[in-house]
Amino acid sequence: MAEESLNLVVFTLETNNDNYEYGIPIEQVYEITRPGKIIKLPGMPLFIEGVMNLRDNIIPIVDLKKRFSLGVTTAKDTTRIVIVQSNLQKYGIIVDDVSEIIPLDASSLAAPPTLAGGIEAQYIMCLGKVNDRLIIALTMDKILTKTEEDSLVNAV
Amino acid sequence: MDLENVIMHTSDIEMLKKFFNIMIYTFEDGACFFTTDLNAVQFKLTNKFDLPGVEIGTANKKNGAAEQIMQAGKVTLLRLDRSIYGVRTHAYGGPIWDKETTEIIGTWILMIPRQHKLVNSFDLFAPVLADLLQEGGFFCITDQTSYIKRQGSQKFDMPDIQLKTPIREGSGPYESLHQKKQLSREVDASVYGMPFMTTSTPLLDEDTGTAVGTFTLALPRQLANDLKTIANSLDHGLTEVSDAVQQITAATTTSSNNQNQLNTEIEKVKTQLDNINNVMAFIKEIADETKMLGLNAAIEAARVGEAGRGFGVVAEEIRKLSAESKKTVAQIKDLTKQIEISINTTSNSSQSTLAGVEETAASVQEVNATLEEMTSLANKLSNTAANL
Repeated sequence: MAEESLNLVVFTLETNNDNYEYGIPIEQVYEITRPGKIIKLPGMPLFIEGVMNLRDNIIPIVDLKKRFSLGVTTAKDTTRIVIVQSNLQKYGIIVDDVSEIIPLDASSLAAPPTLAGGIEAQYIMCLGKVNDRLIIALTMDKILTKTEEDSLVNAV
Repeated sequence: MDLENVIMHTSDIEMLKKFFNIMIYTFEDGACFFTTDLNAVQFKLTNKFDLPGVEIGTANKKNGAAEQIMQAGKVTLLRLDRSIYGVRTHAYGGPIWDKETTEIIGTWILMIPRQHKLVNSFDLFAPVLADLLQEGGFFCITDQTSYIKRQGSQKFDMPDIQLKTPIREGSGPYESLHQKKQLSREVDASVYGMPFMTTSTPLLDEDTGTAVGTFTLALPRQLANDLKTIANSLDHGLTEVSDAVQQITAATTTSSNNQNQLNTEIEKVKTQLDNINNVMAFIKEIADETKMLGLNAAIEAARVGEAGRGFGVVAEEIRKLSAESKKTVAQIKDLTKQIEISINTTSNSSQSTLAGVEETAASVQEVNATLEEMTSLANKLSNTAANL
C-alpha cells in the first residue's frame, strides 16, 4: 500500500524485556515531551490514563501498551509523551523512549501481513525496513475508535 | 745432757756406726750417714737417700757439712742448700775428737733430704689426679732452675717439658719463682693445640722463706673456651636478630600507616567517583533534553514543509550529537564502574594487608618477648662461661 516516502518518528515500547520499534508519520506528531503530572479525572473513560497540562493545554493521555495488550508502562527516565494530532483532538501517548526520526522511501516500506487481520490491525499503516530493524508504522487516525474519539473530545 | 755437748771420740766411732745402721731405717724420706777424717769421706751408710758426689774416699766438699762442723767444733744442725750437694738437705753431725779431746780428727754426719712436702708427695698424687681431670692436666715441680718432677695425662701433655729442662725466662714458673707469689695465665691453642690455664705456686723454704721451687698446674680449657665462644656467638647472633626484629617492627608500623593512608585515599577516590557520576548524570540529562529538543525541532520543521527542510537537517544533527553525548556518558559510566570495581578490590586487598600487617606486628611482639628471654639467658651463659 505504501506508495510514497515517509518520515517516521520512531519510538519504542518495551515488552518482556524486548524493545519493539514503532513509528508515527512526522506529520501526525505535534510534539514530544517529558511526562508531566498525569491527573485522573472522575468519570473518565477507562482507556484514558488521565490528563496532562501542556503549556495550559489539557491533553488526554493514552497508554499505547495497554491499548496493544502489551502490559502497562512503568515510568523511567526515558519515558516520553508523544503528543499526536488525530482527526479531532490532540492527545498524548506514553512510550518508553523516542529514538529518532527516520526517512524511509517507498521501497523500504512493506504492507502489514494480512493475517494480523482483525480490527486492531487497522492502525498498522505499514512496516518500515531499516537494515535489520523492522519498524511498525502506525496511523494515529485509527488508533482510537470513533466513539472513543468522541468521548475524548468530551472528556477535555 | 745437751746434744750440743755430746763429744764423740775415735773410740766411739764403731758404736756410732752400729747405732746409725739401725737409726737410718727410721727416716721416712731416707737418710745417709757418713764419717770423714779431716780431708775425705771414710764411711758411708744409705737408705733411700744418697748424697751425690759423696763416696768413700772423696774429698770433703768446700764449705760442706764436714768443714762447717769442724769449724763449729760441736754437734750442729745445718741447713744446706742445693749449691753444695745438688740437693737440699738437713745435716746433723758433730766432730770426732782424739782420745784427749784436744784435737778434732774427723766428723760424723747424718744427712736427711730436705724437700718440700709437695715434692715428696708429688709421685703419689700427680699420676692419679692427672687422669681424673675431665680434660686431663699437666703437673710439674721446678727447683730454682729446672723441672724436677713432671706428670702428663693421656688427654693433655706438655712434651717439651722434661726432667732437667731449664725454666724458660718469662714462663709461669719463672715469674712465680721471682715474684714469690701464685700466678695464673691463659695460654691459647697455638702452643699445645688446645687452650689451657697454668697456675704456678712458689714453694717456699719453711725456714728461710725463700722460693726454692714452684708447683705448676696446667689445665686444658677447651670446654670452657668452646662454651665461651658459643655463648659469645649466641649473644652476637641474638643481638643481630633483635636488630632485625626491630627493623621488622618499624617496617610493619610503616606498612600499617601506609595502608591506613591508602584506605583514606581510596575513600577520597570513591567520593570523587561519586562526584563524577553525578556530573555524568547531569550531562546525560542535558543530552536527553537536547535530543528531545532536536526531535521537536525536526517535527516543527516537518510541519513547515519544504521551507523547513534545512532546519530539519540541523535538528537531526543536533539529535545525533545528543545521541553521541549519551553514548559517551555510557562509556564513561562503564569506565567509572570499572574504576570502582578496581578500587573495591584494592580496598579489600589493603584491608587484608592491614590485617596481615597487624598479625605480623603481634607475632613480632611475641618473638621480641621470647628474644628478650633468650638474650638474658645468653648473657647468663656468657657470664658463666667467662667465670669458668
